[in-house]
Amino acid sequence: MGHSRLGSTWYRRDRCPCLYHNNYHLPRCKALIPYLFSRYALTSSHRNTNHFKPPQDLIATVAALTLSIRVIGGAVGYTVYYNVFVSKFEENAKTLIGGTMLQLGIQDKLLIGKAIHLTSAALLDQLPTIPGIGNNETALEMVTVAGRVAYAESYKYVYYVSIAFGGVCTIAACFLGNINQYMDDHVAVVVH
Amino acid sequence: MIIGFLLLVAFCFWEIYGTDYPIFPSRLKQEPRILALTLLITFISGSNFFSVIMFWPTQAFNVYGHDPVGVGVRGLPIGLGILAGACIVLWLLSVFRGYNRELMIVSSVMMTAGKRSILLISLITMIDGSRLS
Repeated sequence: MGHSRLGSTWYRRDRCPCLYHNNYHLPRCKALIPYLFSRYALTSSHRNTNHFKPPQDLIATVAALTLSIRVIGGAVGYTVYYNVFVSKFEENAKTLIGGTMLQLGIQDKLLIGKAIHLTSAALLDQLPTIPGIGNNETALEMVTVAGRVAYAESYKYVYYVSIAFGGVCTIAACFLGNINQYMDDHVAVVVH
Repeated sequence: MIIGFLLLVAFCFWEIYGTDYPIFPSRLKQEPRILALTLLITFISGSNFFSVIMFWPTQAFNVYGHDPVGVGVRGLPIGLGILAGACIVLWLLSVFRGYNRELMIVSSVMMTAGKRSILLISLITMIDGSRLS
């Protein structure tokens, strides 16, 4: 049964692999969930081989470590994605918003720059202050839609990059090992 | 960012050679493959998580209209998805003991699929640009 002589209950494997039984109920559950227990039968021989005791006092360290790694990943990833987004948006804004305003007959670079600036700052209600657009509903709508399409085209590249990262993540997940030997309802610290 | 990277490298050397009580003790490295892979997956998930949190609200605002109620409604799936995903996968981890690798693969695939869905929405929006208003 894998009962260690060291006196620790860590190595005890006399429990059913399903969630609800703490005693060795293997025969009863076997009939209900055969696939689960076929795996248990195959792996039980090598599962009782804890040669070391995992550190109990480092639970908080590990929790904090995963959190900090997530935040570092967030910082690095966001920097990458933001730079991709901004470089693509600069191009698309010039092409689409600039193109639309040239269609409307506005040639002044300062005004086009102002329109792009207002779009990037999401201050679309200030667009009518630009002389060429004014209160012309159609012109306003055209420039607004051009801004939206510029955004949409730029966000597309952010998601391409993140799909690449996600693919790496999925491949890494295929090589993970089995942690079942550690999941035995052992309480490290009683916190009351 | 370069300074940050150099500081991270200096931190690693400090942990190994510089102190008696490191923050990241070597006792943790008893299953090095699982630990390293889990940290790698956490790193990449963190980058996707932060990017979605930072980019989706501005995208919902800029690309799909400024109506406050609409923007709020568009932000609901992200939050509810994270909450439900965390609870359901943790429950499944207890039910399917020993299948943590498969659970992680399914979660990574769903994350990538979610990104593809947002990408498809962006592409469709781009194509139907004239129908946005």
